[in-house]
Amino acid sequence: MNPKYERQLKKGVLELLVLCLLREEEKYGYQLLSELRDRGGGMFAMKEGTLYPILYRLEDDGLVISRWREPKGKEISRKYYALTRQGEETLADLRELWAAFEEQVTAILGEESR
Amino acid sequence: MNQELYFKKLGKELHCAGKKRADILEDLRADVREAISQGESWEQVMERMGTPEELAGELNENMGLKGKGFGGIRVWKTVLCTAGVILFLLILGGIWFYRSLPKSYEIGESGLFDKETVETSAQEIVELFDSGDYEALQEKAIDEMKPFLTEEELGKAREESLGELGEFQKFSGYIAAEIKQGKDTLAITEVTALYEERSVIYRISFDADMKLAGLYMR
Repeated sequence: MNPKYERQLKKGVLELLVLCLLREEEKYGYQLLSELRDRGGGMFAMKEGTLYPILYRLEDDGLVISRWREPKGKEISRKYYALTRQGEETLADLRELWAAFEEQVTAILGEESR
Repeated sequence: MNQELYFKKLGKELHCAGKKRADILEDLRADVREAISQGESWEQVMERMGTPEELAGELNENMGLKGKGFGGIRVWKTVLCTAGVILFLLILGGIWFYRSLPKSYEIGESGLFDKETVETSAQEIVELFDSGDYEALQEKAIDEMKPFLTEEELGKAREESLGELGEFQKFSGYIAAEIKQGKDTLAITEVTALYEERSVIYRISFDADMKLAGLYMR
């Protein structure tokens, strides 16, 4: 299979996943990359070149907000991204959309395989 | 490749500038610091991120940043702005140039000159010149002209450019116009005088006060 198809298919849910991960707590870039890799069973292993543009877009749209957190003790300075109120609303909408989407896609795929 | 060089190259390849570029580089540097603090080596990080060219390519593509060529909106904005400023200056320069050009009108149009008075005055100048009454000429001229309206200067001019004329016969031609240049308006006349030996064309100009402002002969 041409990897292009796989990339295209995953691309649509990346924003949803990032918003979802940020809903738990504010996170920094590297943390998001690690979580996406580990929690997605490797399926959503993302490169910096993909993650940061997503974060910038979400920030431009007012869905997330970023801030540099001064290092405490031995910590290194990190830029944290957090969900805004608008981000939470968008996430809720996207979740609903995802549920409907999954249902419909599964239904069609189910018919086909019968 | 060390980190410094990697980020230098990356910055060069990014198709954005200023704060945006600085923000991206700062995010990525923090990312590398984090990775290294969690036990990755710089080589491993680099392996994962790809070459600076590859990483910049992904960032540019995913952020919808176009090349530095003529495609970027920024570039077009700059080009259009520059073209606009140049056009504006050209128009301004054009207007200035046009205004500074002498423009001629029919005599009497400005209301400053009376057609007949100009003709009579011009002929009077020629008569005074012929009779050698330089003092009277100076009386009628603007201050700047006076030093040239002497027997020495005018006598020389007459001798060198006109030669032997003989007796004055009559005025055989006359044209006049108003010339406006900047703030000044002049009446310019060409009086043709016929003498025994030849005819002479005098170009005589007056300022708005009907003072003699120029005298040429050929």
